[in-house]
Amino acid sequence: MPGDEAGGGGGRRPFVRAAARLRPTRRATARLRPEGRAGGASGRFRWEAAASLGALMLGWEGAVRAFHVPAWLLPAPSAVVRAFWAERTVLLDHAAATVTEAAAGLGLAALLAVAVATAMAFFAAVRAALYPLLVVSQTVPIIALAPLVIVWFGYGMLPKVLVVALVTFFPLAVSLAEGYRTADPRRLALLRTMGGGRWAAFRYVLWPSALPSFFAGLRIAATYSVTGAVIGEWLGATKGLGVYLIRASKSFAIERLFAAIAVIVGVSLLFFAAAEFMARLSLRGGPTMDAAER
Amino acid sequence: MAGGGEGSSAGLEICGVRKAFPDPKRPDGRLNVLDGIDLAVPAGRFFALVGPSGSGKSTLLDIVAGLVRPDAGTVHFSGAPIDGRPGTAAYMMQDDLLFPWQTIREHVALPLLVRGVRRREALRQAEAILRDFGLGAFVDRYPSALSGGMRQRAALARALVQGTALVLLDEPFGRLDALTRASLQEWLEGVYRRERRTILMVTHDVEEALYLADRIVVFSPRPARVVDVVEVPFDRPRTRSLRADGAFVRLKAALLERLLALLPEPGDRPASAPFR
Repeated sequence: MPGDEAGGGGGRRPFVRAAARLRPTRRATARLRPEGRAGGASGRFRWEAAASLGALMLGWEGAVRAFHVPAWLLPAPSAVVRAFWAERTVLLDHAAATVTEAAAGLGLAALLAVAVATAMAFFAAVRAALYPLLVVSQTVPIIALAPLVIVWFGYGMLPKVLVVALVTFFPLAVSLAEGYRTADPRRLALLRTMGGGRWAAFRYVLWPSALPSFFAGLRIAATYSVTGAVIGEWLGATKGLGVYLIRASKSFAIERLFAAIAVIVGVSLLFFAAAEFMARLSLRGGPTMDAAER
Repeated sequence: MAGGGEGSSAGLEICGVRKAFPDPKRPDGRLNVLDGIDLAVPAGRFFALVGPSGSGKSTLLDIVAGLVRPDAGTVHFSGAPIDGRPGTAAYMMQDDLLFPWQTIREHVALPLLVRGVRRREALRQAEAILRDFGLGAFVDRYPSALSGGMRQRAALARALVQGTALVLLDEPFGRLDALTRASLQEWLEGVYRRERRTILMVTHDVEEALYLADRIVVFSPRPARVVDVVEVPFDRPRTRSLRADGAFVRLKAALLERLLALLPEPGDRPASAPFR
């Protein structure tokens, strides 16, 4: 038996299995990495994360039961799950509104960010004029701006879309602008020796160079977008998870509040995953060897 | 247009080219790089440019490529001025400069696409050239999945596909191991014999210059001047055994001697950063 394991396929199999398990993950995260820089959050949930989350839930459940914490103060996870199940159709209905607002706002912000960042990349004057404004705009607290947007645009869907766009525009525009700036000047020069003009430089060097950075920004913006939509709803709406949150807290249905929070977290993660998926579709080619060779 | 006598097509003519870069660390605020370069490469000839590191060889190529404007002097090719006008010369810069987001086929198609060739046609031509270059099986690979030698060949294919009569190569095989470099030199010699374009190649490697070039131009340390133009007397095709040939070895030793004499003695060299 021992000899059987040492020789041939038997001994190799664990390695092969381990390699097969590791390979897709590694390749996927490496591909997202902008060249020469260490990648940010990989967005992968490994079993360690699942274990720590499970431990947290068990501890929470145990503590609530052991110390007889009243449900209006802190509901046990099991109570939250029951509340979610009882409210599932209502919750999903509200979630649909929030998702629509977040997606529309994020899309609007992405379009604007591409337009503004690209204009800044092409024209130094535009950059000089807009970049400080961009940074200053980010220091305006969104919670103060949101009521204003509602005063201007009413209680419909549009003001929420605008709040989301306001929240997500900055990370998108800045990450894309930074991405353009990281483009290798030698690569741009090479394109000129091919007889290429500004459009060729943009299409074949600037844009592909900026994409990894842009997607890093998109992942941040995607998670912000759901929170932005909820804040917008919170200040005045007829539908959405923000509305549900207010109703739950006003009626002291704390387990429903927690269920809504769980849905918000879930929706945010879905947005994050969608951004990750788009990044993986767009960023082909994998990491460059440049960094390793220098 | 094709062939013709040497007198009719003028090749590359560099006259009195000077270049200084601003350098605030120097007393006069300027770093003199090129100090009046005169050089003529007849059409269809292969010239190598050797000299100490930092002597401005790459700057001269940048000027010929039209990327950098000289402070004084002119650059002509086939009688037309080309300084400050990129697009006349194909230029393979140092470090291969491949794009991690493109397949090898897309790399070679790129100069064609930039010039307005339709995408399908450009990709088809690129594949044909890559097959010639021995990379036919790797057209859909990304640079990260290629060896150093394959990357250099792909970068060279990208430069040559432009079809320009003038080709500039900046240490095309600089980062390769000796064996890969030798085999790529033989391959490039073959490409040159087939196409007979005008080539100006910067290299640090005296043997590479001798093996490939018709003439070797020697630069002085910065600010650079042409201190020597060495005629390479060997017939083409250059064979593998040429490297061990007595005349080749003697010429190589003489050239090395010439280059080393240009450098300050290690002992006499003034400390670049004096102690304080």
